[in-house]
Amino acid sequence: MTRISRFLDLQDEISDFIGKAISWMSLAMMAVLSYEIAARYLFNSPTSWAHETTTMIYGTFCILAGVYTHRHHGHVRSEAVYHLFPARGRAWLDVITGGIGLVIFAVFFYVVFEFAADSWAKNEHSSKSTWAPPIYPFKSVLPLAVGLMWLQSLSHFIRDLMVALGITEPREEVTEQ
Amino acid sequence: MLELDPLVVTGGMFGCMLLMLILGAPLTWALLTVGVGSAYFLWGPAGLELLAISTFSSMDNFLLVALPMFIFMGLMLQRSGITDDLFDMINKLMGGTPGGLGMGTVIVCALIAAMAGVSGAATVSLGIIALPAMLERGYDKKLATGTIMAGGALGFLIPPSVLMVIYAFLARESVGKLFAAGLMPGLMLAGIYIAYVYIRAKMNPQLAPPISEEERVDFRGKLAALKALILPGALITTVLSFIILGITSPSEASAVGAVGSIICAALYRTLNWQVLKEVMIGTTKLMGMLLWITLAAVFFSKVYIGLGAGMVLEEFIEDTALSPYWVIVAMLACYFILGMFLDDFAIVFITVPLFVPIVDTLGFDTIWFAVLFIISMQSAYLTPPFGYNLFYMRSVAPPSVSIYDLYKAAIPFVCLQIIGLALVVIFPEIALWLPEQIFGRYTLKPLMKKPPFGEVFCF
Repeated sequence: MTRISRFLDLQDEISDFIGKAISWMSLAMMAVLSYEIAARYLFNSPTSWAHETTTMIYGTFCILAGVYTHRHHGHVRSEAVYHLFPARGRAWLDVITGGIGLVIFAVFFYVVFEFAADSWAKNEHSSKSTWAPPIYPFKSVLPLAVGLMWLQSLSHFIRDLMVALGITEPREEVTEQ
Repeated sequence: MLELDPLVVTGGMFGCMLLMLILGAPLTWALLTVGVGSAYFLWGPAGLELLAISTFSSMDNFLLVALPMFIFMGLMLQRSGITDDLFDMINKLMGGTPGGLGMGTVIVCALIAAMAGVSGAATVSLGIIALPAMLERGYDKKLATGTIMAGGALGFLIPPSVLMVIYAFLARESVGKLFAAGLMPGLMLAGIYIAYVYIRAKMNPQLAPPISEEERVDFRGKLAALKALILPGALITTVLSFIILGITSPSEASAVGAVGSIICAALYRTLNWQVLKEVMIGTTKLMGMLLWITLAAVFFSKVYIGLGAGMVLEEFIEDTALSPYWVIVAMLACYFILGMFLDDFAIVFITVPLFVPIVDTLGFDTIWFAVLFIISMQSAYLTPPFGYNLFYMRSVAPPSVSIYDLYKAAIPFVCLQIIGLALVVIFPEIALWLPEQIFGRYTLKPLMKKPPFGEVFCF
């Protein structure tokens, strides 16, 4: 039991850490794009790398951000019917949808792992600009994010199952915005 | 691969997705589950490769960089104290006339909408600042809350708008054109709200009394109050002109706006580490949600269209022989109903790939339809049971305002929005005049052009 709760706490901490760490990437995107605009208009020497770099930061930022969002139950859902159920009934619904989610994310992980591995094997480089950076590190973010999403889903699943079985109390309703 | 009737595929996929949504699954989960299930059963394991491609295409897209930037900008400005300053200005300029504060609130909402791309920003910040001020002066609580909620919803129509960026991404439209098309209808709606408050205050001054004599300022005081407009004005002009005039790409302009919002906060002396971290983490949380819906919806649509089911809706419309305008009305009615139960982001992802090709085939302008869609989404924000602005308002309003007061407060403004919507349907020029001026002759597309259905959503 303690081992499970230690996993749950650790998973929350990992997701929170990731959220805080990647949140700085929004500033990085601003910096790169501002540099590009300045280089283009003030110094008349547009860069070849700014747009692709920003896109890569954006992609990494957003896909990993999903893990943080998931940890704080921030993924949009329709609560019209869901809220008609009592707390334990909701927990059972979460167990069902969360369980399906675990299977889906496992499949998802397998698919994107192959996708990234393929890119490494081909030593794939971008063909979007003359800069042509290697693209496999960017694609590797995919399995990382989906894997973390699976772990976070597992953590939610265990918590919901414990509520559903009456082992623990339902979590407080957080209404934040 | 199994050969299935497109109607069965449509019914099956959307039925399963709705079932999962009803069970309380997040939209991303519902879309992924149904997409993965359908792809696997109909194409086998090879079909799942689409999942990786769809995901990567949502990550590897320069246009979408504008989303985190606009969200950052909105969240930063919300905390920057810019609203206090603007409301103070309105108080001095218009407080002396009946209904002045109410009309001024709409103006502040429109200004915030031109700086922030999300709808909650204006509602929350004005709910905190303007609502207590108006209630103190004896404003009718329904009129006061309704004005703020409706004004707050302008955020999606007046550019920059996050919803428009997503629409542009899905329908492969130009962000600049969409932004230009949203500006006039947005100002028109703001004008309608102002006229409404003015008429109500004229008919019954009890509803919206002027501020007391001591609080008013003379002409010089009014002139001095106008300096509150300098910073927001500069920020709005820079970002919008960059995008609409095509000086930079929308993504670059959004980064300029985000940097500008930090500078604004610094000049208002509200910038500190705490605020910056809150804004960054808020952006992270929202973007995580948005990107994961995007990738799931892109995948879902690719599977759906790949299965050849995209024709169903089009054939259905051909069979019923509805006149094109009735099809548009039916779609808008559909938005209105969906808006009661689903989030606007959910609606845009589900319906754009289905509706926009039809609108295009019918010979209507898709930019015009985008504006209609966004106005409908504003009503969605005000209609119970799930109107976001109702919740935002409830969370900041004093206890004397009940959720039922808010429901009643929203009704006249929803009617005004429907009037605005009807005006844009009848006079498409309201939306299309500005893009026409900027991007050249830009008329309704001829009916003869018939693009292959579903192409809109293939990347």
